[in-house]
Amino acid sequence: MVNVSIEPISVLSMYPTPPPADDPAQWIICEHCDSLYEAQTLKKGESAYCLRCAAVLDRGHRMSIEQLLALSIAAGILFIFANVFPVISISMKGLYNEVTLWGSVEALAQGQITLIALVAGLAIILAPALQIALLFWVLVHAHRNEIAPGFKTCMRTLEHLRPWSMLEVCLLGILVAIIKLSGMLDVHPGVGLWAMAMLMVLIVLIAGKDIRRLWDELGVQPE
Amino acid sequence: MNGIPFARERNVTLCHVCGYVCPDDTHVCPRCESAVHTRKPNSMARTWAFLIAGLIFYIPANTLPVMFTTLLGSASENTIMSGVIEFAEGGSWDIAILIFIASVLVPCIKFLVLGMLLYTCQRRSQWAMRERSRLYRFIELIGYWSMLDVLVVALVAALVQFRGLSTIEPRLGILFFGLVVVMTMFAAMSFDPRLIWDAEVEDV
Repeated sequence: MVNVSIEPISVLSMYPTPPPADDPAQWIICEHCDSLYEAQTLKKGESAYCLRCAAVLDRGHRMSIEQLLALSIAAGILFIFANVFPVISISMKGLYNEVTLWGSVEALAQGQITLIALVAGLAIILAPALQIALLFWVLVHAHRNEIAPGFKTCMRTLEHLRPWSMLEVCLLGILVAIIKLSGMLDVHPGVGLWAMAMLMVLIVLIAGKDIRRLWDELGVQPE
Repeated sequence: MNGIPFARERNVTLCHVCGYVCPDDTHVCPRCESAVHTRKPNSMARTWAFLIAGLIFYIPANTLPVMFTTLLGSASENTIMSGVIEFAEGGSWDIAILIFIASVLVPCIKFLVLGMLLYTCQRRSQWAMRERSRLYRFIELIGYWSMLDVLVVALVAALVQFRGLSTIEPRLGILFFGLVVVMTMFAAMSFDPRLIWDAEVEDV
């Protein structure tokens, strides 16, 4: 990975006058320390870091819109597999039981602790499902160079969902549960687990901040 | 410091949702229509509130049992720590350490770091600003891994349902533990890391 530091505006500025405030395409602001830089075009694999606080300012795009769309379709299929098939099954003295993601959320929804079932349901089912659906919606239109109906709402929702999508944690949770139970009974990983593992990789690839590029690439005009 | 201008000095502010550079007198991003603030509103007070709420929930999360197990007639209740100890005594050191990190170390680090950041920002300290920024990004990154225990209990309780032979049920502790995670996530989200750097500018 090539690291590119963006020059501070004051160093780069060859402008006769300060650049106009209504030309946001030229500027980039660090969200962690409010430093202002002139935006530069980054190549694939390059990242720009803030000189003041060392946060990532911008990354070059790794994938094209087509690739992102293809991966979001794949993620949709894997999501269905991960939810329909059991993630773990156990057997003990001739008895057999298996659990799906929904089943594990339901197990929390009893009695006084129902509230936590809502959080778990959001984290492992609802948030990833919405992310995949919204990404597919905006990308399928972006692919045809159109702005999807409801684009702004979709993009805002994607931003707010990101911290609550916890498939990585869920995958580790499944592995810990398997080891925890393997001491007292026979545990078998299910088809859902493999789908989960692949889905997690895809979500990391498609659901990051990179999707913000659509604002610029589709030329959404500020009002 | 090193001549990099602050966005505030050029009268612009960042939209956190779409990354648009907005004029700083707007309250709604012209491009994505979400609310825009020069600094997150009431950042300090909100972060303190979520942090203290999280700390209060952390007490029942550790003292109340998170799981109730009946195995071939013998019943037992586990708290988070007793679960870790059980793993360690059973020889699974790796899993014990993993759960200990996710359920004990991560929330404690979050409490300490957020408390330190709030305290130093209130005192307008200029100490180690770059490192404090890094710490903030670090706790933002590790925060949600604490949900691990909640999901493990959910999976295990859903699986082990052999009436008469063996059952596992979730208990109240797991609710409080989940709330600790949610509260600390809200606390980290409502803290504005730009406050760390505001100490450099006199007239904020």
